[in-house]
Amino acid sequence: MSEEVLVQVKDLKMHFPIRAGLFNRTVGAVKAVDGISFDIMKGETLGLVGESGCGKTTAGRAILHLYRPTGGEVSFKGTDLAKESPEGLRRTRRHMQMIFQDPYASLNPQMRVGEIIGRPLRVHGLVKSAPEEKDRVTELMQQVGLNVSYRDRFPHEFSGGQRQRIGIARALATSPDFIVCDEAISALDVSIQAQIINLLEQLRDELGLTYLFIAHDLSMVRYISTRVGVMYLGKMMELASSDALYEEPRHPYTRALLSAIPIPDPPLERQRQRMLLEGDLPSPANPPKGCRFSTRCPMATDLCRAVEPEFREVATRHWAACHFA
Amino acid sequence: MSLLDTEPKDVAALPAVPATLRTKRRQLLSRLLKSKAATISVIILLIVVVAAIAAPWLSPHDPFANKLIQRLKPPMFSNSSGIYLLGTDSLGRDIFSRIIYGARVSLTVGVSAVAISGVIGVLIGLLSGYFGGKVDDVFMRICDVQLSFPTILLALTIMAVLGSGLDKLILVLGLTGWVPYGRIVRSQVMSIKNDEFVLAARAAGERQWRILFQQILPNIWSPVIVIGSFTIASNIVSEASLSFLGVGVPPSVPSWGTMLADGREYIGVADWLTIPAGVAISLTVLAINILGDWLRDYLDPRLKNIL
Repeated sequence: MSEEVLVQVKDLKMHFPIRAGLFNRTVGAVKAVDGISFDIMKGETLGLVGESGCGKTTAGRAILHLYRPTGGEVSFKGTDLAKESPEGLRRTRRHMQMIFQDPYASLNPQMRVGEIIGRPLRVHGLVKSAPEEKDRVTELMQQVGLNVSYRDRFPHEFSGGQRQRIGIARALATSPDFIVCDEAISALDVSIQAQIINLLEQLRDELGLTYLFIAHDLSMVRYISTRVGVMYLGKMMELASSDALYEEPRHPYTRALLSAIPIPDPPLERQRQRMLLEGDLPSPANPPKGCRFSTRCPMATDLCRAVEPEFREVATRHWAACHFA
Repeated sequence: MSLLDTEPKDVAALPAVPATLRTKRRQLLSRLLKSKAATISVIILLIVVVAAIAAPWLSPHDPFANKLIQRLKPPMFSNSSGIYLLGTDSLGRDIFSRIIYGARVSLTVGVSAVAISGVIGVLIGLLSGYFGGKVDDVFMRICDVQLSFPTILLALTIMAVLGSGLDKLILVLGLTGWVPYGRIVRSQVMSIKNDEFVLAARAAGERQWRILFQQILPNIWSPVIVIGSFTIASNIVSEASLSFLGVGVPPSVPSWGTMLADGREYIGVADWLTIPAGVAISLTVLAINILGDWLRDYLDPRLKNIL
């Protein structure tokens, strides 16, 4: 891992307006992502974990500017994506790609595999002729472990794992530097998950890719990530190297999440101390005052309920947003 | 051997067939022949099209010639002395010949009006559904305005400005018929524009118009085909009512719709005036609907091996 920053996220905000009434007035906003900041170094894999609805996916999409962020700044290789013209942004997309969560919805059912994988090449003018495109598609299919003779099949003829490989080949087509893996393995069987994870790791090492790996499976994230960020209700709660986060979690929310990982050994599993969180995730349209986690935190004090803790460096390269970290 | 002759699970073991134009055409034909209903529909439509094109050579009598002395003659099979296959109408014109000639007007009106309204409706629906917001508001208000105007009123206005004729008739039907396409396409686009494959296309850096026409449009053909096949039918009938008002073709020009309208007065005494036209309309419409249905399944790659 180098110290070169590839993607810099500064106070990124993504609010979705809630409209109501006769004239569709904006009556509020769902604060899906409410000010997160972090850097992604070239060659690293940054894991992003959190419960459903905490804004992980939105964060991934806003970083790639698939949504126009409400506020904050994302720079990719030093250029601010918000300042890019639509055409410039479109061209930059060549270097940053995405692998999607649902291998069934992310492939156009009307297109053959060869076309799905080949389109990004054509879009960015990376191939000059049909035979050249065919060669590159063949190469990509081999790279992700797909049988090349399946080129003229339609997506519905494949299994979930194979479809995810198609999605990976599509993302790799333009030789990007940065790939957002948005729950890329969540929809797959456990055995297939391992295959895809290994494939992603292998590709990262071969092609020097940088990943933002969004997931809710903590053990998978630990396995693949160099650093891990924990999100809760649109905010980053803790960010540290994988080992530090899993061995010495500083934030009570991280601890609660980690205590929920089952141990694959029955005697140990029976002794496992679980830290159960009470209550539901508050509404992101109306987050609690003070610390967002204060409504469910076992350690919460009056201070937590009144003052929002700052996201600060509590140990070397270990950030947490808790008054008591 | 084509992919179609094997069970779906055997297909998995076969190398994929290169999709050249020729094999595609052969596939289309062999899949068409697999469906009896679709085959019969194609035959019916071919007969109608041939009748329309070759009308002067096929019709036994002049469809325009009035012979008042021969008026309201019953068809040949119920009247052994008759020389008219399907009888004559109230002016003594041969009904069979008029049915053959009528295919011209009816088909032209039905198909070209659907083409016009289909293109307008699909375009508006695509833009409205995809871009949403202000674009959507504007287009949907135009939709409402369009719906609030009776077709007849618009037809009379256009007639007053441009005069009457077949082309004006097609224009009127085409311009008034786009709303159903627009609405359906809009809702379809809205339901799939947030699918991950559309997002994937944007993430890959595809241009908006490519996403709209190459990624989204192929996925919404089926309702368009269904509406199209139904609208051809209703256009054939609308042509009659507009012609009755004087907007469409002159009364002497035969069309199935006008024949139906003219024969109405005599339905109690001479039902052969209306029945042939009615049968022609229903058969054509049925054939178009069945073919549309088959086409919808044909365009769905998921049904490729089943159908």
